[in-house]
Amino acid sequence: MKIPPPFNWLWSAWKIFGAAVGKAMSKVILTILWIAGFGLYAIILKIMRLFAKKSRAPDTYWIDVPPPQPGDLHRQF
Amino acid sequence: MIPGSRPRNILGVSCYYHDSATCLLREGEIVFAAHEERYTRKKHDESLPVNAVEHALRHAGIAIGDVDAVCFYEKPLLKFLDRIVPTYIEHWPRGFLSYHSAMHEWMQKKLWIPQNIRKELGYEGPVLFTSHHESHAASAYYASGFPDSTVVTADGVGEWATAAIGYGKGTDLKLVKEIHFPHSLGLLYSALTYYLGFKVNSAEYKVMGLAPYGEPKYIKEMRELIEIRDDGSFRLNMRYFSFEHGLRMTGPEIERLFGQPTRKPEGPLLQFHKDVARSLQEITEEAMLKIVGYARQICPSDNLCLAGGVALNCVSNGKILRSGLFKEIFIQPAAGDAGGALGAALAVWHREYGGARLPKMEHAFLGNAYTQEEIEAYLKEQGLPYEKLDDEALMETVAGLLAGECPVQGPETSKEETGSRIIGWFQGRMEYGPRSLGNRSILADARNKENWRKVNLKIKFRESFRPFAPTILEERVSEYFALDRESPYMLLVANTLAHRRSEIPAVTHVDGSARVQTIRRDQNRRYYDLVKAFERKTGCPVIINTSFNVRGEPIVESPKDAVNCFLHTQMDYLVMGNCLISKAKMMGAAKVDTETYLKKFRLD
Ligand SMILES: [Fe+2]
Repeated sequence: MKIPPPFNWLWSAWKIFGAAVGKAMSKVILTILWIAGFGLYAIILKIMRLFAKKSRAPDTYWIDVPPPQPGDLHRQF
Repeated sequence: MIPGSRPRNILGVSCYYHDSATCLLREGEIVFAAHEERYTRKKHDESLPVNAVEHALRHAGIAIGDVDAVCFYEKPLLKFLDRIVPTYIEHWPRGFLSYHSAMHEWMQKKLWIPQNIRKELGYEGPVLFTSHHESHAASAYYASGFPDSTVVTADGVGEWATAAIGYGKGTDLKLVKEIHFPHSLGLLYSALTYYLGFKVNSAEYKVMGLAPYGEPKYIKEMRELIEIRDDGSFRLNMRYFSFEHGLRMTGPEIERLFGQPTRKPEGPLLQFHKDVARSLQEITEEAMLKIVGYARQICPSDNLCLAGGVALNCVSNGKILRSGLFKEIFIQPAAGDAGGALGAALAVWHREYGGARLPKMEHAFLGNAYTQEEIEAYLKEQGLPYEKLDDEALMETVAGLLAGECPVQGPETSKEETGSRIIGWFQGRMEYGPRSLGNRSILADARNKENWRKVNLKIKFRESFRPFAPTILEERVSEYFALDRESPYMLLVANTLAHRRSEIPAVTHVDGSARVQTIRRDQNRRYYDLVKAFERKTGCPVIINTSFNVRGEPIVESPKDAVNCFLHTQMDYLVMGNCLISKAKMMGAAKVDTETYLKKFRLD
């Protein structure tokens, strides 16, 4: 769609403004998630860990790899 | 293939971390493989390899609709939900800034990989996913031609795994053991690369090149950073690293440990930095030797396949070879994440389609080529003078230039025109993997020590300590180096034989070692013929081969890139196809602004 001047620069300015608001909003939302979601979960985990027994260092740091499952190539996890 | 049916095409894709690439398989055969950075001219470009895919399809003469499956080289949801999010929770409230930038990336593109592949490639078929280390392992084992093999992968990190051991037999490949993030040999190397003032995910090989200048004085400190068990399993002391939650790899703790601040990029290189590099290299070699030793015990074979970024450490590879643990070793040339594209496609070919093994990958010339007509059309369009020679005359002339013969005898020959010349060499299909192996290379006479300095400082504009690799005719490798086999991908370091060191000083590192590339005629006819012609003239079967680029620039892809790089450096001649272009003759025809050209590339 072609927009004639002076509306074309108004449209460009509006798009820049929209992008800036979007960026600010995503920062705000991510910050809320950081505090309310991640933070809450992290605090619970930290409290639970206070009561957990300390595990000894294992004999090896190698971990067994589970065998491939049928259809796993089709999954993102 | 069933008679009458069309061949099956599988596209492997690796992207969104660094060094994105694609690989096209047709009935299990590698038809095309290339890095996206070569087309976009952005070093280590991580974007979806749209340009590389376009070239792959054009090369194969097919459309995207003919592709039966696209396979991404790792499992994004596993990585995000199982590692990235829990790691941030684990370190909360630290990691706020890193979390913001990571979440933006994941929300914008990394969580939408199938959608992005479909949208950007115009593809409508199935999108499959292999695990990161399965991709690495498959890229090495399935391309090795071995009937069976022990497989070891090691890198920074995939989903969880940072190193893995597996076994391949026939078309079956299984990983059996792995080490999990944050304990990572690749990240240890990257963290120390950062501490030494070099660029992470880019300049690790500089640290490897720096190591021979130092002494292993900091092994005790290294053992504080990493605990290595006898079975090769290891654990990082995370007190010293901040890559789990920070924007930097290391912090003040490591500075306290070594008693020196983090080196500033481009800052002075002291003996201390060289000693740290050497100590890091030694500890990496120790870990890798123990890992492959344990791998040999639990997945026994006479053959070893190596892949993952750590497998690009050719000094460590050389030590593994000399340990005698394995009779044969195959290291995939694109051992880093770009090679994941190849591994993902090969894994799908075998696991999803039950395809047959392909023969050994004998060379890495898998990218696109330019015809003689295309090269000449470009030179004519630019008004650049050139001389066209037939194959035989070309090899004779170029070998003569490398050896220092005067091409034009006469009164106009200036003093500068005598002595060995430095040649830009652009031929055939582009290499897959980080090394130039004779189709996009800068070549020089290895017998001339001065060439080391000249190519580093006046042509590549890079640090003077950086060593150069030799290309040698395969049939003569053991006459010059302590190596009894091929090394076609420059991924093995061997010592130059003591009595040869003074003959080829420009490719012998300070510790007497060399990063050898062997060449056979069936791997690259033109390049072999050139080295052979040089041998006929001089008796020496060795030349310098370094990548055709300047510091921070991706290796040249097209005649345009080659001419640009040639014009802005002090190379003497450029050879593209059968065209010989002389710098002296063309300077009037082209205006050059070297400074502006170099500014286009961020230093690596
Ligand atoms: Fe990797």
